[in-house]
Amino acid sequence: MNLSEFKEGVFIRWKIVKANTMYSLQESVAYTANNWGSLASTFIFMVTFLIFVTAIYGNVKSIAGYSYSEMLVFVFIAQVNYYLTWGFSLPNVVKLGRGVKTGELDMYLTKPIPHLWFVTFRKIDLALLFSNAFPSLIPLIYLLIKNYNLQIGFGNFILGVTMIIFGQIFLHCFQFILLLGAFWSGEARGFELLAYQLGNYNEPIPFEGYPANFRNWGFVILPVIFHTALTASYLLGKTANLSLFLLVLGATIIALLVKNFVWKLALRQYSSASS
Amino acid sequence: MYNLAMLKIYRESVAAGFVQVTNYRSEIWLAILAKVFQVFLLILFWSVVSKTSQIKFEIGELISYFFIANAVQVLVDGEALRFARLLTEEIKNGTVSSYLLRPINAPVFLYTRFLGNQGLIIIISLALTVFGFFVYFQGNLIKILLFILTVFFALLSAFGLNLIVGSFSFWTTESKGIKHVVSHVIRIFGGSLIPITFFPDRIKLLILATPFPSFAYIPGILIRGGITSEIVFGIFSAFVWSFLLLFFGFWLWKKGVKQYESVGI
Repeated sequence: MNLSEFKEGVFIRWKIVKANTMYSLQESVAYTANNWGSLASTFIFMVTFLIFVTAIYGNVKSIAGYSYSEMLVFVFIAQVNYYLTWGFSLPNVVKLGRGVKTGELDMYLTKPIPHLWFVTFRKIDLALLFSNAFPSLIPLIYLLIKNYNLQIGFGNFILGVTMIIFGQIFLHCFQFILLLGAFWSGEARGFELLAYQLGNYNEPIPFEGYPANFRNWGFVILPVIFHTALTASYLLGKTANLSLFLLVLGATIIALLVKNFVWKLALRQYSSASS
Repeated sequence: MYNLAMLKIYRESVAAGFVQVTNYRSEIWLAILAKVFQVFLLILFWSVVSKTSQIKFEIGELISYFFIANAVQVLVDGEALRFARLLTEEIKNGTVSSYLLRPINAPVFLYTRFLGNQGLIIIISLALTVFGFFVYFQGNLIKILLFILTVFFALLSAFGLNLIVGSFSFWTTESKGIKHVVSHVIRIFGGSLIPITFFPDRIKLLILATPFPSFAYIPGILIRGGITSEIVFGIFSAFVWSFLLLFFGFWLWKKGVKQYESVGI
């Protein structure tokens, strides 16, 4: 590949991201009622989840060494990850699975574009981040400020942000690879449920709460350990294990390679619904 | 004679729904796997709470409670509100018209088809409930009968609640937001995520007066100890709510149908 081809490749990819972002924005704005419903849903989720956490801490002082304010930080990280997943990754993975089932994918495969890039960035929901994420996080931020008694160093903060970025990439690859199962089974809904269940959290289990041997490799089947539990642990200075940090970074790179490989494999397996 | 013919139609509707679902076997199995995973994580969370705090649980009791609470909640459709989603889809797409034109009770007909569709999930939920009973059960025949009674009331309440949420689609077209709101509330106040005993006494009493604990908490605590005032109050509350929700559900449906407009009618 020479320089001009490389430049053209980057240019096409940039154009795809830009066009998809604009389209996603228009799509989200078009359904105002849906947005209100969605906001009400996420806001109520946040409030009920905070009731859940507060009710538990009304009976206990700490969970796996996490005080109430540390647990609120944990929940905050989990929420940030939730919105990033729904803003950039999961809708694309879901659309891919459904596209396989309905045969919609055929149309994209006939276009002269980088297909894997296109299906990865088909929907970039910035509206969700602005209209849902910020308002629904208000009760959590209020409780965090009210109960804040932590010292988070700059180094830990940078480590935490790095972990979120890599955790999101790993999670995306994990869910994407899982949904590629639809190429073989022809059904996507079950894979969607599983991808959501394994990738996001329902219970705030701190990293230190997992069984010892599960802490090192558990994230391979349960990415929530990586993007939320381990991130919180690094951010709060509860973990300073460098080898674990390198392990998860290495795993992210491997996950990207595996995603690429399984995508090619799935395309070879793909028999179009419309052909 | 008419009633018998109706029963036959509803029975056939269940069978048709069940046949339909056998086409999507992988979907069902993966959904079950996801649910089992969720319950295991829940058990892990509470065992972490038990190990690292002052509150102590017996692991058998913990497994049993969460398996039964979550299985019953799925069994009666008291969390995901799948039936409400089905109603929303039917109303949104206009396909509900074909049921409204027939001489049948449309919500009941749709519900029987839905039950058939959920056949495999119902069977697995029952199996998980039985598993929960085998792991830890301190009781007698009366408690088993009370369990069945609670589940029955929960089923009626959940049907009513689904009908109410689904009927909103006659006015809003899209009731996904309302459905999610109700789901979140049930998740916390139903007891499938956190036993209601964790709430302060006054709030606990308030929660027990809602229909939600009958979906998970009351069936979950029936496995242990004696018949407490909490259980009696919970079952009585479920009994009252099943009537109220059913009545309001059908009333709202009728109201919705009156103002429903569809292309082709």
